[in-house]
Amino acid sequence: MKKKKVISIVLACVLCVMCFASCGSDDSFVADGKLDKVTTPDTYPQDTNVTLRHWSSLTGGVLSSCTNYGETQAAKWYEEATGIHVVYEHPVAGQESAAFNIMVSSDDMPDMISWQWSTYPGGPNGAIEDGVITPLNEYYEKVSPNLMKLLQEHPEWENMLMTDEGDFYQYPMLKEADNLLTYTSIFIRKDLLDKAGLEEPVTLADWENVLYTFKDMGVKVPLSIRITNENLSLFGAFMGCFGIMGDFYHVDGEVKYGPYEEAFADYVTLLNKWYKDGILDKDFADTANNRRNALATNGECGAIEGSVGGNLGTWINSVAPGSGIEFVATTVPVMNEGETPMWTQATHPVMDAVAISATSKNKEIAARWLDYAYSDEGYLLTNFGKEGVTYTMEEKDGRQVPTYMDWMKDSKQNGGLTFGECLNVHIWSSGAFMQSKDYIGQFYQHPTQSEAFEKFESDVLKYKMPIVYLTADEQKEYTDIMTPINTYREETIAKIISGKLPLSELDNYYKQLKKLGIERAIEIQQAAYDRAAARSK
Amino acid sequence: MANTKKINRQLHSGKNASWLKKDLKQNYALYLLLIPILAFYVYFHYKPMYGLLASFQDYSIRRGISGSEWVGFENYERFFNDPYFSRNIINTIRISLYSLIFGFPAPIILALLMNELTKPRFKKTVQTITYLPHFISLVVICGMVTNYVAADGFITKIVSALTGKNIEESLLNDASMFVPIYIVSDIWREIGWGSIIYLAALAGVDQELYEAASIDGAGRLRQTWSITLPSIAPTIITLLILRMGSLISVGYEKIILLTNPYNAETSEILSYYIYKRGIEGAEYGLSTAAGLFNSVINCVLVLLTNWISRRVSETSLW
Repeated sequence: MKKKKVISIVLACVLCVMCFASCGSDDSFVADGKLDKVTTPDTYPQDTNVTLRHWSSLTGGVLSSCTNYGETQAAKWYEEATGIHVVYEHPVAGQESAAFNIMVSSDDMPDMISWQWSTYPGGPNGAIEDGVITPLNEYYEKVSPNLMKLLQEHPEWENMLMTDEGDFYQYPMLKEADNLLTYTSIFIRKDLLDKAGLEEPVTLADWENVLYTFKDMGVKVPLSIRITNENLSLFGAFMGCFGIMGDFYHVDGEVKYGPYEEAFADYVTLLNKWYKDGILDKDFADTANNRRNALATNGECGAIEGSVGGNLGTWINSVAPGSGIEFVATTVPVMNEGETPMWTQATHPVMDAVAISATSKNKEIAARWLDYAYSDEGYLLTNFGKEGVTYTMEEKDGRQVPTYMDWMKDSKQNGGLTFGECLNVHIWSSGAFMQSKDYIGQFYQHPTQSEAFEKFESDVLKYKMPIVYLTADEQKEYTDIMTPINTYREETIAKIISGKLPLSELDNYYKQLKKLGIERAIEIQQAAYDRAAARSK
Repeated sequence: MANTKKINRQLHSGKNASWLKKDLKQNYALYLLLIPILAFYVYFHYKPMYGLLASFQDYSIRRGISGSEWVGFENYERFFNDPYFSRNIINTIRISLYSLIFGFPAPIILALLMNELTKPRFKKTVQTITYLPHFISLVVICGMVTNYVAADGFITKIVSALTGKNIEESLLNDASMFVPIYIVSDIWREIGWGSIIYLAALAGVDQELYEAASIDGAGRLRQTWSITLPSIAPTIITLLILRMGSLISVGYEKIILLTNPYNAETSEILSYYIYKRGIEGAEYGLSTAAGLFNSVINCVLVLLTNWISRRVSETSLW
């Protein structure tokens, strides 16, 4: 009897608590994106006393001199130019996802939010339907003349900015030219090539020749590439030679899955041979940078995969002087001489940046603030800073190119910063703007790095999946299929390459993929691809 | 018959109520002191349970539980139908059982050994040295472990000397070595810290018992077996029950730091799965379902151990 009473009291308490909790959350509010009357002029600076709130993560380079983006010179100049005051809110580094979830579930969303909207459950359309962000079609049309002008010049971007429902949802980061898209390569030891009297390898046969020569010369790890699901879909070293990519891709509108193509078996067979012959890094599945940095800088490897900025930059700077170790970027490997490489790492020229929250009271002003960056003045301001202060116009290749001034590169004059850190304070490296094609060549100071960008020509954008969105139901089915497939694939491929499983296991691999439902996953991607191709306003 | 029962109940509850009333009046200050603690539990431990409802929903962070769509048992079905579900469970239980069998007695043995040390200074030094790994961050510990068992690590060298095999790669690349590495490194990290509570219990053992035993001719081993162990048995059992409560919640942090594609067949566990699906995949409904499943099993295990212990040894949590 006593027990029953206790139980009923507990239940009553629980019920009360539940009521409180449910009273707490508000009715969801979905912004319809209507903009009936434009109240702001097309000219800057705007005359307004509104303060906008901007939620974005702070890039590491800024952190060395400021704790809030608002303190940077770049932010101050931009405020001066637009006449709009913005305060920045930053999540703690490393806890961005948690902070984003808390921010989104609260009633107090800032006006502008920087986020990878494709990772939101249900994609950007999910974010619109959940009442997180505003559909921006009317804002694009009525108060974003500068962005609209860019979209007219680059009609191919418009499709990438749209959800399947035909909504614009963000102010993007645009990449002005293709040299900003690819930054991963296999770097080879120039000094070893010279010693062996060999040219930089172009075809797969060249590569084999070079790598086996390195092996004979006593190089401990002739080739270090990263073979995990993630790295195969990002870069997939040597995969293009076999006419496949490491993830979903399309050939003339037909979606394929690289690791399910027949040629994938040839690729794995080659890697297995390289592994057995001591060409391939034995720890290829361990992609930790500290291990790879050691491999590159102590001279143990002959060729190593990495990025031009983060990886190669570190290696150039930490090689012991006098060791003679010298890396050089290679062109994307091909099967036969004269072919255009099919596939290498490349980002889309349009990247997720800033959306306007559904609850913002100042959507129009926010749109004005965001749109300024796409104007000609905004382009110079965001990419190069202020003329005469951070850059000067100089003649190069027959045209006027904004060029960073020398004091920015000199840590004695810029307050003890590296060039990269100094740039991060004066110009934008992320956010809603168009990144200049003239930026990247100047950003990297080492000639090996700036020259690298001239070697990355490939057809990747022809085959790469466009930005696709799955519907909520598709998304569930897709992840239920792909999570086990990814687990199975990564384990099995690593074991086959390293000889822990025999090559004959490959037959079973294809059967298992089929059994786990890969063909259904391809169908889902195909449907999403078809919707993406058919997008229009 | 039924009537008398009813009357009885009324009488009884009436008595109860008046007793409570009286006590409230008399000791109101004590009850006042209780309120913050109660509020703490209600707010931080009972209110969050409301979040379990998300496991029956297609949960959206923005809409919250009141606004998300109800989907019945869909999340549970997806969780149980995952092709790797049974592997996750088996791996979790394997790691848990081994760490119970080897990891649980280790600090007890260390405490018993330390108890036999006579020089206080030496004892303190040993204690400090064994505690130390506990205070090192897990990330650093796993980094050290990875180095020790790498192709040229000293543990790998010992293993290859003992087995006579020439090992050319990290021991972590061998699926059958994952659990031993996990357990041994766990023992290494936690043995000193875990022994503190037993040392405290040992300090409370009446020294006269030992004197009496030695007069009766009992040797050291006999004394340990017949006096020390029975004296600290309640502590051991209490800790065992608590330990059972976390049997299938092996933390994913260490797994993330040590897993690789070669050992995944023995290293991927339930909590890692929840992490992958829920946090990385942002599927909160699904991971809540998995988390609830986890909690229910743990709860059953605690109740079961408690029940067995009460039957066998009269020591129990309640």
